[in-house]
Amino acid sequence: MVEPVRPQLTESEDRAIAGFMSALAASTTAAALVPAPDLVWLKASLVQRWEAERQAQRPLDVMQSLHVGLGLVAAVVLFVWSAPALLSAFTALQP
Amino acid sequence: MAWRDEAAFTAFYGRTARGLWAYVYRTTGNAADADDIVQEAFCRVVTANVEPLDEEDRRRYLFRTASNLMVDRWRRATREQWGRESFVADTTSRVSATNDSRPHLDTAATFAGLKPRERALLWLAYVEEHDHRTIASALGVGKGSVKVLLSRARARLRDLLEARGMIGRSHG
Repeated sequence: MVEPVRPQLTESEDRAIAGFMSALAASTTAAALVPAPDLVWLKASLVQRWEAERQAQRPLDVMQSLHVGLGLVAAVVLFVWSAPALLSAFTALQP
Repeated sequence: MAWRDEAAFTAFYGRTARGLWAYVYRTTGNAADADDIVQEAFCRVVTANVEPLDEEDRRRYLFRTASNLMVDRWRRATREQWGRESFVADTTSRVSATNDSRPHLDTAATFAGLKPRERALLWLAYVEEHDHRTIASALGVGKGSVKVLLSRARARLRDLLEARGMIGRSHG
């Protein structure tokens, strides 16, 4: 037999649920083991410092990548630009 | 700008840490996850600019942050199985070690029969007494959905309590 759907709670059921939640919260909170606040403060300070360092380092990392890229482009341009002269120099060296 | 006054943080931590741990532990069902999430949430509170907020708003921010971290984990983990299996094993170890009465274990096991989101909804509504808007923001659901989801969660818990004989069966 199919159980009737009973989505609505009566007042006494709601009180029972509130009591249940209250008992569960009290027993769990009483048993909770949390680290000392100074440890959490220290961890947060370290995280904050690392984040600050990472943010300070970011423009340097970007510039370094840009530097390498520009160097490669300059090398290619120089090679292309000097290729005819190099070719004629090699040709002149041949007997 | 980060939180600068360590003494104020220590006082705030003393008032909120155990309650937050209890919320995360009962929602995730895993003590190690609760440890990680609570520490991460407090670290974010320290690095965020919450010092000018009043106590109640700081507390809401803290629970919202922890809830977001849990939701991130739910999305990463393989859904509903996460939490429920480890919950039962964990209940008999860490929390029960300091609080070992049978009714407590019954209470914990009954609550573990709910889905993680239902557990979070009920905790925020009944224990933290957050309004629907705050719960919606904490759990990343629409404000309109909270009422429906909460109603279903309460009905599910009522059914579980009835099935375990913890409340009398009504004939509605």
